Amino acid sequence: MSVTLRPPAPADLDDAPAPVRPPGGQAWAVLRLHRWALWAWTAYVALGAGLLLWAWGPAVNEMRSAVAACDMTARVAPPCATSVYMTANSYQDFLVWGFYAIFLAPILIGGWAAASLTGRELETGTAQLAWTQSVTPTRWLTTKLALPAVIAAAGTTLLLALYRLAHLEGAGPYRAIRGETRSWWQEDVFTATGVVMVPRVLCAVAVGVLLGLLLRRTLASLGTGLALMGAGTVAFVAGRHLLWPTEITYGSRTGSPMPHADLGHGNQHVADGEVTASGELVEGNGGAADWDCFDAARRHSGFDADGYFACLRKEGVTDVWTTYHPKSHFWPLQLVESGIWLAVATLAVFLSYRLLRDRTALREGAA
Amino acid sequence: MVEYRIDRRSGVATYLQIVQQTKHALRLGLLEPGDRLPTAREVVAATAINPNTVLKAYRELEREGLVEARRGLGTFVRRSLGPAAADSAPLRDELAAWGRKAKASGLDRDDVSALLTSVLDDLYPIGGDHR
Amino acid sequence: MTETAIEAEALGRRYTRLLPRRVNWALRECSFSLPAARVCAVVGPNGAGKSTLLALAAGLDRPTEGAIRVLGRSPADARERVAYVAQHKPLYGQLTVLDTLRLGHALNPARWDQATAERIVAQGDLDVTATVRSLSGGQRTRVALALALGKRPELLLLDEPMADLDPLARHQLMGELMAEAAEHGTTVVMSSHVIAELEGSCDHLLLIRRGRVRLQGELEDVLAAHALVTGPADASLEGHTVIESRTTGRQVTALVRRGGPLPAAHEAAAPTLEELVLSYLREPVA
Repeated sequence: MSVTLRPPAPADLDDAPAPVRPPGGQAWAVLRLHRWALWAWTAYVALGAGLLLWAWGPAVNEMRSAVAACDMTARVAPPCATSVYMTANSYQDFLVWGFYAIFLAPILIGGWAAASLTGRELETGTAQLAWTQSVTPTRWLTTKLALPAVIAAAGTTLLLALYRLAHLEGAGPYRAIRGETRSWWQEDVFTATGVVMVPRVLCAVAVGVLLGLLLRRTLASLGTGLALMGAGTVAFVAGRHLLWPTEITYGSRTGSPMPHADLGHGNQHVADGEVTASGELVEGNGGAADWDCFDAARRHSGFDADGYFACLRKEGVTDVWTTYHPKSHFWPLQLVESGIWLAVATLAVFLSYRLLRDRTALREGAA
Repeated sequence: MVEYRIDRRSGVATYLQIVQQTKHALRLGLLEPGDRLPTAREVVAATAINPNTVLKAYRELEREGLVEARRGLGTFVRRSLGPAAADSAPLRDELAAWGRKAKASGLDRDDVSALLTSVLDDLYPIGGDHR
Repeated sequence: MTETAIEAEALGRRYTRLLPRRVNWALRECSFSLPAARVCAVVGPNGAGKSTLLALAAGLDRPTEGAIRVLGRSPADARERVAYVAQHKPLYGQLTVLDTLRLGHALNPARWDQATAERIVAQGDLDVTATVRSLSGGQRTRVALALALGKRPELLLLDEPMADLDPLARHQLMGELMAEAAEHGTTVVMSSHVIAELEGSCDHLLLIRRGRVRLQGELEDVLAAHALVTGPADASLEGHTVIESRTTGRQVTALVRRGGPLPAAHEAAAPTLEELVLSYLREPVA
């Protein structure tokens, strides 16, 4: 039986934005649902970018003009030096705030992804609503993973590029004021001038999505997402030096009683200690194996290295050593860390698809 | 156009209610040959009953030759039911005279109604219809 | 169009809780076949497995054993042709009504019927620019139904659809639902507690109790197969299956499944759907 219907024309719908054109599918849906998160992320990136741009432009210029106006090579620092130091501090502050924006992003993204992308959808049942539309749950998950991953990576990359810009631009004047720049292995320089942050935000999205699917609760997912990404970040800050074999140097070879103190700013000190008579490396003792020998070897004219090592041998210590990462380890460390984040991300993505597949009906022939 | 009123507590099958109400409308001249019956969609939208029930009632009316379905157009009345009670003046007059007699003999409204129903039941037995 | 809307064969779904360990069969050995273009009522007490059954049909869950086929295919492959409204009507609270419909369009590009969805929303006299979060329970149900019907499903699965509606809205929405079913030949499967509400609207019955199908078939046939009999307590009802009986003094009232002509000593009446269902639900479980 066919009927011609007179669609009622209610006032409300007349006021609505005219004829509804087919919206842009799944991607539109995800963007619309997470509109506020997108705004928040845009604001976050804009804030970080603002700080870094300030460091790159005005802060560097101030350093330059301050250096030009003040003779810093004088034996005694002139009164103007204070203001010169202040310009360097200000530049460094902006750079560090920018670094924090980059550094904290994956932790925040991990919490958000867990809570908002999946946790809340499963808690309120809207995931089931989505899974009973025409798109398959698999496609739903793909969009949920891919779109936020791309947006998060894009924002992070922008911040990284600006950091690098500000870092390089300010290096000259900063060195002129402070004598040296911050070293490659320090957390801010390592993370913000390297590549690890991109795998880190990708991992944050993937792990977050998995946590939400597992926990099915908004708050629990938020907390766990923040905690896990935070813990992961801290773990790398504390243990990154283990990711690549260190170089070793001995006091006897350099004539230094404390080789770690003589490493120089360009090398990352890892550990130090003494070599026993049996050739065993023992860690500790501050690098100076024996303070009595050390004191005995101090001369007005300088340090008596031969006397010092002779004294040590009497104590059963044949040498002192220190392990370190030279600057050439920057990229190996970057790549190993990135690889770990990406491996975790891949595992999380795999588990998410598995979980979803187990929870919903199988397609024919997919078994 | 008729509007069906479905009484779920009456004990009469829903489709029969539609059949009866359609016939009633035909008798009273509310529906005339050529009139379109409401579509199943219109009936169920107003009454929330099952669409198959409406279709069943219409099939029953069709079987009795009262209506016909025209594909894509709807269901239309083929003939009216008569003689319509309202038009049969002589019968009505006779019944009215009987009613006055009954009233004079002291029967009240319910008594008369019961009497009428028992006569109707004898004359028009309801055969085998479950409710 | 497929002749069978849902077909279940020895369908079972077990839930296992880890701590403390508890295994619970929500559905067990369910076999039934639901013809297309019917309005089917799924009735049963709380926890009988109604929601599990609907979720399985919607492809939101996987059977532990047995199989379920929807519109002749696996639920996952029938996804596009099936709409499902869960019991608590999940919707995105932050979206406006209008955007909710756009979402329906975005997620069902091939089937979406904006006019139908808009009509159902419009009849509810609600502000389409309001967010879903601000709607009342009844208005939410209306939007959820609009989303489901806008998909133009061949099979519509509704889990307790009318639970939080006032009588007027209930009647109105049921009417609109029946109208859509009438126009498009949609098969509707709905679970409900309000049995009186289903009478008249449904023409097929699936009664579930403790995860098993107790009664199923065309409503008319099912009702005709049973009788509500009243008679002397000592008269035998042999040959008939007594579902429930109550003895008052020398008289017994029983709901029986007819096994032949009823004894003359008994007065028999056809049961209403409600009487029938209640008797089955009260029936002691062996």
